Formats: sequence, C-alpha cells, structure tokens
Amino acid sequence: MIGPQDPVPLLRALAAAGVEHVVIGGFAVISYGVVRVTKDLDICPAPDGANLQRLARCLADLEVTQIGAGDFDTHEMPFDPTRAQDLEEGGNFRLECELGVLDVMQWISGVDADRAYDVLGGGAVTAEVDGVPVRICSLAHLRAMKRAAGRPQDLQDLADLAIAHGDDGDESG
Amino acid sequence: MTMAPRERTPEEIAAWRAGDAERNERARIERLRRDGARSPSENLAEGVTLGRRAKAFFGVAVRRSRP
Repeated sequence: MIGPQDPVPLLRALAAAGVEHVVIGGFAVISYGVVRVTKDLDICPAPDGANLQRLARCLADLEVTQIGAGDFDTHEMPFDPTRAQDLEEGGNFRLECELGVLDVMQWISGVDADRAYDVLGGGAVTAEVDGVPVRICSLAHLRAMKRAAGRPQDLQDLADLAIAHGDDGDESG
Repeated sequence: MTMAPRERTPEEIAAWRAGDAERNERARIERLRRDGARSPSENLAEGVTLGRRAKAFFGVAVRRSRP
C-alpha cells in the first residue's frame, strides 16, 4: 500500500548523484502554497545522455522496481530504467524503492515537446528543502499539466492554485 | 452557580455544523492566499513536515489495521 511520502530522501539521492531534473506534480503544487500530502515524487529529467546515465546509475543504486505496469510482471517490461539507453527512449516510469515512490516523466501531457524537460527546464524556479536544492517547474507549466491531466485531484489543485495565485485565464506553458 | 446543560435540538446541531464547515472553508481560503505569497522553499518546508507527520500516522494506522 502506498501512503504519504517524505520526498526529501529521494531528492537528496538525486542531488548527490548529480541528476539534473525539474520537480513536477504534487510536490510542485506544495511549493506554490497548496500544502497537502503527496504519495510520490514526480520528476522530469534533463534528456542529455550524460544526465540519463547518472539517473540510471542512481536508480540502480536505489534498487528501484517498476510498479503500475498493468498485467506485466517487472521482468516482462520492455524498458529498464536502470539502463541509460532505455531511458533515452523517452518513456515514463513509475518506480518504487526503499525511499518511496518516484515517477520519472519524460513525456507529459500538456507540455508541447517530445522531451518535456526542453520546455520545463526553461521556466523552472530554484528552491531548497532540508538543505537540498530543488528546481520546481513554473506555475504556468504546472497549471498546463494539471489541466491536461484533468483528474479530480488535478482539478482540486487548479482550484486551490487559483485561490493562492489568482485565476490564470488563458495562461499557458 | 452553574446552569444544567441544555440538550441541543437537531436544528441547532445542524446549524452549528453548517457554520463550522463555512468557517473551515473561509480559513482554508485565507491560508491558501497567505501561502501563495510565500516562497517555494517556505512552502516545501511546511509540506515536508506535514508529509512526515502523515507518514508516521499512516504507518501507525496500517499497523493497527493488520489482523
């Protein structure tokens, strides 16, 4: 069972491994003032080969396993996130390890790019939590992703972000 | 001298509950407006604290619910 998550240990591991990434999802929502609990950490990694190698090594060190793979067993999954060349295929991975649940997102609905980082990286803001530097996607990009996802939690987040920051009108990423 | 407690009518209880929900929602909106003006780092610090408390509570709840 997946419960509330403390994302700091995962962020610290990614920072220690030198993985360049932008935080999206629930933890990004929190950073914009909608303080709520999250069950996972969502990141979008920089797509260059060296960075994906660092990410693959970090995921291997964390001994991640894939979850949310429908009818597939882990060994049947076509891509292995602990291999940089598999990450370079551009897919998304939902992973679990001792430190928690990590979503590695490279293609994201609402972000108009084959590699989402190419868009998200530009507008990201820098913050810090427990001494760990983190880059958070821009509010405009966060809203665009939430609008595109459109699940009940996304709509609630959009409503709360509108209270915290005003209505975004036709703003887009 | 103390008055004997009067039993509340169902209408009074319903009105109190409705007012409570309204006060909670008003407080939530005020909090969102206040937190929206804070820095991402400040909000993350609070979010992490909340997540850790929830995680601790969730762990206790799961352990207790197991047969």
